[in-house]
Amino acid sequence: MKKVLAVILAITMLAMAFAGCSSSAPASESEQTSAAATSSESSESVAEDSGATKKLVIWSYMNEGEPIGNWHQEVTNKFTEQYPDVDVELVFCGREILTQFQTKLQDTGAEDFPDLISQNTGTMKPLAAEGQFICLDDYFANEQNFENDAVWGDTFVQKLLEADKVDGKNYFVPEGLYTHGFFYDEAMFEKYGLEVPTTWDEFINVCDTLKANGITPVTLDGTTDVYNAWWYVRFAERLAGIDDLRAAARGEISWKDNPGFLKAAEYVYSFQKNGYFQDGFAGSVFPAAQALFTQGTCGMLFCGAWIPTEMASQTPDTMKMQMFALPELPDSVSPTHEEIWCNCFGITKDAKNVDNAINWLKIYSSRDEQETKLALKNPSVLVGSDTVPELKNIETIVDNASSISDDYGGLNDYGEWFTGVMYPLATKLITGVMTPEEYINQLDTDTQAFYNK
Amino acid sequence: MNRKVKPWIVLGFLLPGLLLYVYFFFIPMLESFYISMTEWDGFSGEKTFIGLKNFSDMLTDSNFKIALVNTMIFMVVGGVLVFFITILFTYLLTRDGFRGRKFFSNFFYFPNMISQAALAVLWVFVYNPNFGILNNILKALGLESWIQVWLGSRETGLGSIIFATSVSFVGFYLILMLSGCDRIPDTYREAARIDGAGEITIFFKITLPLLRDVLVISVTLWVINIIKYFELIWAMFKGANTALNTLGTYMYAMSFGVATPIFKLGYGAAISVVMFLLVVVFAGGFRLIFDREGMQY
Repeated sequence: MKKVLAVILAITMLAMAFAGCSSSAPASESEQTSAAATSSESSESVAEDSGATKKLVIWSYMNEGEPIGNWHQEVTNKFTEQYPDVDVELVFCGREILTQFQTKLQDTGAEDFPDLISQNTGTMKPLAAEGQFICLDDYFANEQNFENDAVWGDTFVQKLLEADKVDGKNYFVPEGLYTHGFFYDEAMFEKYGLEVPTTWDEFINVCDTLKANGITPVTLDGTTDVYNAWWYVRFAERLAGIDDLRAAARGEISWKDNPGFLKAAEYVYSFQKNGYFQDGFAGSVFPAAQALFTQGTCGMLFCGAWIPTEMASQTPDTMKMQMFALPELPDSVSPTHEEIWCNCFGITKDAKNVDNAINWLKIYSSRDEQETKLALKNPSVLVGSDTVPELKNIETIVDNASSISDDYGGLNDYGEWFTGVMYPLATKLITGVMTPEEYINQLDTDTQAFYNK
Repeated sequence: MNRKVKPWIVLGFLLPGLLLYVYFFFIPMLESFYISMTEWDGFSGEKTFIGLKNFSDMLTDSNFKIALVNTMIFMVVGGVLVFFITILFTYLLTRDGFRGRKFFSNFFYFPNMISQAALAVLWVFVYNPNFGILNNILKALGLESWIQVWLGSRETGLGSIIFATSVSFVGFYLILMLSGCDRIPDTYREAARIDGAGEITIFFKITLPLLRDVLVISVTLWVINIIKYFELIWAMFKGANTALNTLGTYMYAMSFGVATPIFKLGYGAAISVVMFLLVVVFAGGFRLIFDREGMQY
């Protein structure tokens, strides 16, 4: 009996091993699509090399089955209808796409080397600065959009394109317009007679009213260093200015030189001091804070514009999620500075099928496809588009911005300093372990030590 | 009849496995040592040789020191906890007349079968300060004074992670210890019982000393696993919490970045070299001190 069981187990294991080995792709792939051409509106396509049918390889940062990943597939299907002679390979790499790209760079001649890769602009920009992507300025200036009724580059929200530039040049086609602010429940605000705050005093009034009614004003995952650093960066942008913030991050000026840095620390510190965060927030692990927000236990969440998409399945029908910008702060240097960024696609410098990559990107940024994406609560990147209901204020926030920067104030450009120095100190500040003065002193000391090693 | 094994036959059978080992493990390991002495982001083909600068940078890297100290605490405190529980369970399950040894050994092994990622999700919820089961149980028992923000500080966070990890690994080491117990002839224990020794005396004077070799191997495995430990901590925090990094998670964060791209593969490789040296020193040193010639029963 035991021998029979052992044989059955061995055969099962071998069968599973062979089944696993039969898939040749390291990441999920769509089937190569080869649908027959159908007549549909067509743009003036970029001229292709005569004769050869090249393979277009697209790497998506999504995992297979994710809503935006399904949308990438839809764009690819539409591309195949337009260009049936082009073989397309769409690969779902997941968020570790750049790690996989690193490996692939050892073999740029491979047939499946990606022509297009996607990720967040904060992650892609350092690669663009290294020359890993081709510049799209000429295409934006000289090409027509997919609908053939406008210059391609003019169809995008211009502040978004501006924020995405690297050394003054465009390397990416944006996917969704993101900014950062306070998410709230409009229904909750109506219940307690609250208006959207535009000044700091109004914001404090909102917090105090919520607290008096047993609702924690703001929710936060205190164990997530990057979000804690983001809190400080947002206030510092307004109170000290983005130029000084980036200069201090580079170690070119002292954090004590600009009083706005200390003021920003005081604002951040005041939240835990006034009891505006939920109990035990210092030990809350992502995504518990977001869960508390959608459950209605906490009134506001300070985060990026992906929240409606991310929390779609957990948001109850009774919740009317909306977003408002960080209110104006007294003594601000940049009272309405905003962060604007996106996920995006870029054409790799070793791409073998640049022309078709451009054609795919035009479909990706077409009106129809951007409107389809709205159903996924992902904002359109095109001027004059409809908005996601939960983000109806986003274009106003962007339009009113007196100055803009990338997410995290663009401090991702100084990644090692940002994660090694600011991350842990910002956590200590927001959790009250450090006072604002101690924070600024330590930030200054550690920044100097970082750049002097 | 004496049968001498021809060396070339042995080599023939060993060679394929040896070649695979050299190609997929040994050569990459050597290359890793070289990369640890370069500045390389993994995107450019060029690696800039910088000698021992990565190692000297570690001496002034406060986050590396945090990760190193966390790893050492994990190793020592976690090891004491794991082996205390393991030895206790070994005693309980090997007592004369105890029934259900097989059931309980499988039962305690069960957490080891669950993926670390799933355990991470579970423990994050257990430790949540608001709706976590731990604080709610303490509240229900009237022990509000014991309620903590379990992951809110480096001290309580490390303790919480050590507990979560240790619980999941006890079953593995218990299986090793029980297998070792099975090799010990019953005659020793019977003779001790006849002489009037109690169960505890038998366990500490006979069973445990005879399990020394198994303990040495178990502790060695623990040391190796913890120095490179990554899964649970990464799944819980995804590298987002600097204070609770260990060498494994810090190496990943420096090599690739988390929310912020870093891509310092040279520095990450240097951290991996340090991890390798720690394994050699601690595991190798431990075995050197406590190992002995094989026992014949």
